[in-house]
Amino acid sequence: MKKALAIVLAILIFIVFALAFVKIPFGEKMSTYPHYYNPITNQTSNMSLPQHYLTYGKNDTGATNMVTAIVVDYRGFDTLGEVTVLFLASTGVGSLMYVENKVKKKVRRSNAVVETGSKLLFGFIILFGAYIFIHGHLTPGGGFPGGAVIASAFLLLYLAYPKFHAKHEKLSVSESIAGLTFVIVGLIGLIIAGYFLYNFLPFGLPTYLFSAGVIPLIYVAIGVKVGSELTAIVDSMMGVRE
Amino acid sequence: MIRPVLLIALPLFFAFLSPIIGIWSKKGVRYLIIFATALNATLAGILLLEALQKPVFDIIGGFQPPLGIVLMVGPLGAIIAFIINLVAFAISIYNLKVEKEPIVRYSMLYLLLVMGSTGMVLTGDLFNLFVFLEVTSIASYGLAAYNKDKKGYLGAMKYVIIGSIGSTFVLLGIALIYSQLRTLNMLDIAARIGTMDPYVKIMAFTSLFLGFGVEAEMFPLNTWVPDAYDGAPHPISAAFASLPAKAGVFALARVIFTMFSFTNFLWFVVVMGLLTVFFGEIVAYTQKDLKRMLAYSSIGQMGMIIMGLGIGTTLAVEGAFYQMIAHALGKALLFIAAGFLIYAARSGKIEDMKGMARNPLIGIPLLIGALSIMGMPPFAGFYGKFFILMGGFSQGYYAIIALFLAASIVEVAYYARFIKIVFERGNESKVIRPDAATYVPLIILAIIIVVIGVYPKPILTVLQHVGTFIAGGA
Repeated sequence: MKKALAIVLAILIFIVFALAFVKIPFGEKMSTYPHYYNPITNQTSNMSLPQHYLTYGKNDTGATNMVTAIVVDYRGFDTLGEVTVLFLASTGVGSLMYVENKVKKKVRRSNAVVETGSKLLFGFIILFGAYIFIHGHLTPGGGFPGGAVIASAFLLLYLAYPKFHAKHEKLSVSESIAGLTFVIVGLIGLIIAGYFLYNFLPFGLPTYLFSAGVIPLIYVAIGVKVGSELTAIVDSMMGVRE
Repeated sequence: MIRPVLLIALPLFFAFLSPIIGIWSKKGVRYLIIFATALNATLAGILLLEALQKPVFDIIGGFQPPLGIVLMVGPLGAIIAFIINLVAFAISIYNLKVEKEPIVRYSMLYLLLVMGSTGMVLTGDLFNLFVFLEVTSIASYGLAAYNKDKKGYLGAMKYVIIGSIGSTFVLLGIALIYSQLRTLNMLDIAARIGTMDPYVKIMAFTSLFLGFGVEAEMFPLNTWVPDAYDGAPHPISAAFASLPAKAGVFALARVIFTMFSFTNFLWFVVVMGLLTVFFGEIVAYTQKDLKRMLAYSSIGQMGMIIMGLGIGTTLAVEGAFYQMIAHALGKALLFIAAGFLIYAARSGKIEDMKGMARNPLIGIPLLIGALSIMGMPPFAGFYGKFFILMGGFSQGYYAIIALFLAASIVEVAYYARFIKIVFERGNESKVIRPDAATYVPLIILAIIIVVIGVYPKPILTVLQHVGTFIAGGA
């Protein structure tokens, strides 16, 4: 009875939302989108918001990757929030997995092939992750995927070596310094130009590595932060092993 | 001149700094949190004075809205942010009583909970509101389970499930709005809400209403409340009642008035509010456990606020905001006192607390807090209920007013029962003296409750701007 009721309710909710989502014009031409309105200057623009991003994005931010331009520059404040969400998740997992008298888990040794292979691959994976977040303003990718790749390199070490253990102090220090970098970059913008997270460095030539102002700086900070946070989560969940 | 963004950036800075300080001194982190919340409360106070002159807009990243994100602080947002940070400061003193490890992580989660709640109140961008909702709720999940016992895990698990469903609904609502209007700025949405398809508009409103209703403890989305409050450490129960709940209900007000510009009677919201009041108050009456009773009472109070918003007249919304302020102060005080009583009685049951509040340092603030929550003059809680009543009365909603009063009587009954037990003459030998970390926040909160109850003029001056808020202003 209870289950039938739940299924009926779920179907009802699905239908009600499906009827609303049917009305969304997917794949429509961008020129038909409604034009945006600036509530502070009280002016209606002559184009829609997505159109503005695509037309002026490169001039406004200096980044050639438009997703990065929106994520780190136009809506950088949201990204600061998202970084905080991940920080909270890692802190929360750390505080829940914290035990005073740690019980050591027995773990079997893996074989020589896995050990040697992971040793060889470790450096390359780190290099690839760093490449992804350093080139975030030029090519697809950015701080979040780059950081996840770096954490996966550490996960490989955890799986290959039963006794491997990343130092928690070091992880939390690198995490903190990366977070502080993001906030301080924002505060410098506030001091220099009067806007928090203002892109105060010169944009340089688009498609060059040193371009787009503070975006690469922020993405490196995010990459380091996400990498150390995910590694810390992996470490807390692995427990102490023998 | 204070930039609103500092209220968010500085706590973040201190939260990211605390692991580094924690390596040298764990005690240092505790005092850093007290300093950070005190600084935030001061800044929020200055911001309130500024917002009274004219609404403050803080453009982030130098991109004009709606291209970038903008913080929008009117007088009402500023006063809620001020109260949130003030209560957070008082609770951060009580945090010194928490001894369970890992204390550095606890302090960071607490500071980010404060930051998230403040951000939800200050932001003027719909997606940014969602981001801060996530920050607030994920910090809450971690803190709800901090005791690492069965009760804590149960409460946190319930909270995680219901909270995630709520966040999903908020995201769905945002997607619907963006798909039609291609904007995320609240004022931009408000200016063009009329061009939306009526069905999509209603679905978007319902999704946002349900999503923020989880944080605002609205019936029937509030089953997490008693378990999460009961299982959390005592300071966190106090914080839950005054920080995320107030931010959630303010976000509801933003959705109703700023974005969707409803100005008249919203029967849907009133009915939800009324159900919440009844559910909360009647279940609270049956509770034998102190923290659970306070949690259900908190649901009832939040229902009254939602009702006030739904009635939608200037007077009723003024009452709802007054009630928000009074409840944030009063419930935080009661939860801190409850923490002491549970510690003193070594039990959570009300019947075991005979005479435990006979020490005046606990007893007097406890009495002030309980009377204020009951809505007795001359304490802060009186005006809120009174204005909501008058607001409903002037519009002729007599049935609603009668039900509201009936629920208030139930509330008086169980608080009176509780007060009678804790002040009863009994085992005097077992009464213990509270220490400074307990009675200082209690006295701070009690003084504010008495001051704004006896001299409500400053608050009323701020609340005069309710008219502009209802009309869709900042």
